[in-house]
Amino acid sequence: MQKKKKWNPSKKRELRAAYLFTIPSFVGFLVFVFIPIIWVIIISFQKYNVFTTATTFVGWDNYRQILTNSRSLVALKNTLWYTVLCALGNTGMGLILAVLVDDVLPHKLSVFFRSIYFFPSLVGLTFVAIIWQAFFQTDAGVINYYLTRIGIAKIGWLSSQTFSKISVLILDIWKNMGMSMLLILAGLQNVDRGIIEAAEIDGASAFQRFLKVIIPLASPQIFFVMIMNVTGALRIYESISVLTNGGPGDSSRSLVMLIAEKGFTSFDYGAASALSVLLLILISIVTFIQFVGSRKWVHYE
Amino acid sequence: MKHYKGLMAGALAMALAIPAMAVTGYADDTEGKLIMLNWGNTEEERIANEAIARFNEEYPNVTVEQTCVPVESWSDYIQKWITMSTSGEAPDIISLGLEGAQMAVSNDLLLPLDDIVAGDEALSAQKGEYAESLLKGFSSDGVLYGLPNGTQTMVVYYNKEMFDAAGVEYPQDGWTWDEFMETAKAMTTDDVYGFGLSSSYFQLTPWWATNDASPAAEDGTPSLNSENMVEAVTFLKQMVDEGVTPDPISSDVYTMFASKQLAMVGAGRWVLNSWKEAGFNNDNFDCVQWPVNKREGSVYGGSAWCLGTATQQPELATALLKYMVASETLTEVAAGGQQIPPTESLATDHAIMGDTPDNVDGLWKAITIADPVCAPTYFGDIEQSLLRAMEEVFSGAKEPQAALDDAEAELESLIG
Repeated sequence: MQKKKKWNPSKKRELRAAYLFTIPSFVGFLVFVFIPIIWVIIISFQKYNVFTTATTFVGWDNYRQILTNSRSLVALKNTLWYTVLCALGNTGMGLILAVLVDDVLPHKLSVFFRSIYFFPSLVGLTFVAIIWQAFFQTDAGVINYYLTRIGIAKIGWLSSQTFSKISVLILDIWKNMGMSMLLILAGLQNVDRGIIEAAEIDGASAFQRFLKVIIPLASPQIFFVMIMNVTGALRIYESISVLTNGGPGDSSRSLVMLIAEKGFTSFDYGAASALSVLLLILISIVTFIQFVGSRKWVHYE
Repeated sequence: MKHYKGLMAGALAMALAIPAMAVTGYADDTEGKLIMLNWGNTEEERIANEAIARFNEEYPNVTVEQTCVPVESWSDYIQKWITMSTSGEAPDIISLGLEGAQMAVSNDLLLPLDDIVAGDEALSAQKGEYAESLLKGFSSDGVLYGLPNGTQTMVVYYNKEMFDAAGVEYPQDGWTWDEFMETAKAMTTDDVYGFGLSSSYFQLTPWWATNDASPAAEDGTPSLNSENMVEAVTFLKQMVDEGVTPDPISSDVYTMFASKQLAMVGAGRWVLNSWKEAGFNNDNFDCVQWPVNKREGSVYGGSAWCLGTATQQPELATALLKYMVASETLTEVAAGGQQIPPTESLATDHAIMGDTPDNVDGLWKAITIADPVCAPTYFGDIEQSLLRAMEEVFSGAKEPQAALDDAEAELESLIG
């Protein structure tokens, strides 16, 4: 028989305190994450009438409906496009800016630029969207005005099927790179200066120092930022909604936009829930792959 | 004789006042709470609050809680309504756009108003004032569900100075689509577009109406790819291809008209305030009815006050409804400059509508010949499907027939 573990009173008190401290976030998780997820899974097998709250069990019908619909496939393709490019763009730009601010710029200027780069993360997207639309308009837009000035034909930033996603990408990176920069910067500032100086003495060039010393040492932060950006991009909504609203046609529509349309325009909660479940699975798979892959390149000191 | 008339008038006034006093005396004691769901900007919220204050003079013990939200889409508004209802705050009285009316009726959210109106002299008199077309928009199977408080329509505005400079004749009521296209081409230069086409559901409707088409048939089934719809969309695409309009997807046509980049644009009354502020007056712009292809027409939308089926106090809610559609309130709504009043007497009163542009009466005329904005029970879906198809056509991804066929198929599978 196994002997019962004995706790001394101070350990017990500590344990109690630990539970007490976790209760608020646990309750929050339960009420705002866990229960809604269960509810969404249940609804995804039902036809749900929002007006009467009457439900009918329909089995896999909702899943079949969305998996055979060409619009969901377009939205899925767009979402993956955003995920790769927004995540790479946001993390990459964040890293470049962080190194700029940390290493390249003189210290006095760096505070100023850090604020400038972070500023877009603080403003409400809805307000700046009006300005971005003015930039992107085909016939009265600022960007096309300068393009035509240098002899390039007008581009339908918001109105061509090819460019609508690129416009969203530009807005999304502008909006989110500041946050990535700030988080990576925190990692860079923890890097031991001595190691960098040692590399310098050994004759490593600036680029080699960056690639072989700084990136590996800041890799836990870069990894965290990458995960954040990938999951964020898989759920991309706001940047699209304020700029193109998914159009023209479905050319810039993401899965979350389609979920919102199914749920709040068609009032088809069943299909919206089924799509949400599929998105949840997709996010889980991608995050799992990232964690597995991270063992190869993330160094914890 | 004079004296006798005065006496009669006095007696009549007394006779009328007695029941009124009796009602007031009874109402004074009534207690309760009413929840109001309204939409619009802060100005519209203020106007409703003032009407509530007048209601409270008669019913001092009744609290009215107004929730006023801006409307991006009517589906969102209905969603807000559902959320309020499920959280135990179901609204008693609702201001609803025409776009959401059939959706609300089909889901049993609205009380029929016929008996309530018939049983009330003031409301019956009020009902007689409305344009028949407006009441039809808020009726389903001949049953009335809302009393309108404002309406909106579309006419074509044109910049007179630009027409004078180009030596082009001003358009006249009854002009045709061909004449419109010729005019738009004649007005287009390197810096100016002849017409600003707006790719929004409401703004597109006059093109369907004047081609005797509609996104949904009379029986409520979708008809996005009917012959006349395809013909109208082909005409709009031609406008884009000929370069007489800026890109309809990304352009803010009302700002462009104000900054003199457009010679013509389609709009209702809601643009007039901002244009006047931008320096427009009777000398430099005017309006004309929509160009005609198969028949004359335009679009009307609007909003009405309705009673929710969830109300526990229908009598009190009815009393408040009367204040919301009283001519004092309607006049204030109209004075805001956004909406067109729903009754002919107010809508043709220049003290309310102003004198700019010269043909300001054309707005009421447009309403009398207009079709309601097409709003079947599945409004959210038909709006999305049609606008997606329009974007596909304008961006060159699909031909009009193919885009509308696909949209029709998609819509039919959605509403199954």
